[in-house]
Amino acid sequence: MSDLGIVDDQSASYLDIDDILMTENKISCRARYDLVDLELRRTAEDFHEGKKVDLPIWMAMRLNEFFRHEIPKQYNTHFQGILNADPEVVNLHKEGPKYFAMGLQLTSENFDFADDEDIINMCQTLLQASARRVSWISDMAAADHYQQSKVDSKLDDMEKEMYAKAISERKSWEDWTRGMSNRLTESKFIAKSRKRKRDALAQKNN
Amino acid sequence: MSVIHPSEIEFIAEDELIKVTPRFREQRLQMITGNFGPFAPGVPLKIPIWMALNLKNRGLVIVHQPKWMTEEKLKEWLESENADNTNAIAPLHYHYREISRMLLQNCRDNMSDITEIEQLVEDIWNVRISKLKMSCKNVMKTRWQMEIPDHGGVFKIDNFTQMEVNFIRGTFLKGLNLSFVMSNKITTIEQKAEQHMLGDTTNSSATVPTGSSAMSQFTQSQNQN
Repeated sequence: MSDLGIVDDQSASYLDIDDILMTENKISCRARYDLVDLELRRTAEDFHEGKKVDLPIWMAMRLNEFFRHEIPKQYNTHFQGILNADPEVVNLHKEGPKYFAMGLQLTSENFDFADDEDIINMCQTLLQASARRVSWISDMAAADHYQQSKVDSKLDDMEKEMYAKAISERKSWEDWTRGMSNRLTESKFIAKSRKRKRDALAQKNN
Repeated sequence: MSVIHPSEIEFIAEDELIKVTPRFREQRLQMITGNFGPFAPGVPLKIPIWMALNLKNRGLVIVHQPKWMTEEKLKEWLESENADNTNAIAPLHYHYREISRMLLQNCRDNMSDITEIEQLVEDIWNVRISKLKMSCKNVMKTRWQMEIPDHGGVFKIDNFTQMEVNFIRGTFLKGLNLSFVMSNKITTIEQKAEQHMLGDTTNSSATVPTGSSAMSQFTQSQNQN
């Protein structure tokens, strides 16, 4: 998911696999009224007012009139403080693999969190964290000894894509400086199929 | 977002003219990119680099070292680059990196100071790229600092060549677009929050008629009294 704007676009995000995965994340919701006989969790149950339940985002968005939502733990003020202090160190992969996308989704109209100010602060934190982390990612990709697995484990999905692109750009740059861009190489597809054929032939002879 | 490979920029750079001495005789050639004059052995003339490399590989031509590609000039350039911390100096040639790579790989036998020139070009490149990266970082910093900087957020970079700009193009543009998406979101939310607050004032103005009706009752009662 490299273009975060897709979160807001109703028609484009309907079929986007990253968006679908992102909206599967659960949010804790509290019932506003006494709801009788709802089948949210596969069985008919009664929700008396104030009962807590974890719903996926796509469901929680549509049930806005009946449920009051709570900001999940990884976007609340405490975590914002951590992000503001040092965004490069935080392991965003652990906090939900699609941290930025979910953050943008939570700001949409359908959610009704307690405070408008909170949402604005959260968005600003997201902006700051994303800008600083993007600079950090580009530094990491250009560093002399880059270790992809080490850095990858701390990035959320969108940053992972960015990082992979940066690494591949850097690789093609290095190939060019050594003059290897103009070589003709065997396509991977052909190489694999030839290997299999050879193995199959060897097995037949044996 | 478009990705331009370094070899594509090299292709564009191959159109530059370079001085060569042919070893064959040929009439004036009329090609799409231009006319290249009669070739006489021992008579130097200027032809595009793509033609020069092809003829050199066939042994038909001697390629001269370009005037800007000498150790002294490159050293001077490197020193002036090191002297200025933030801005880049005007390059000796717009495609210095590509041309130096092509010539140093293909036409080594007629060049002097090859290793020094390679080293100097690398050093110059590193210095310029670090300046470019610094300004990119500053741009990203202003994106999240929420205050509009003095010059209104319009940045200008001078004297960077096509190759250097292409080097940072991918990640920088992505990061910038991301920050645009987020700040658009922030402005829409802030506008909505303002509307919510204005919505509250309209509610309070709805109470005014009742207040005024109470006032009118009071004045009426006063009039009665």
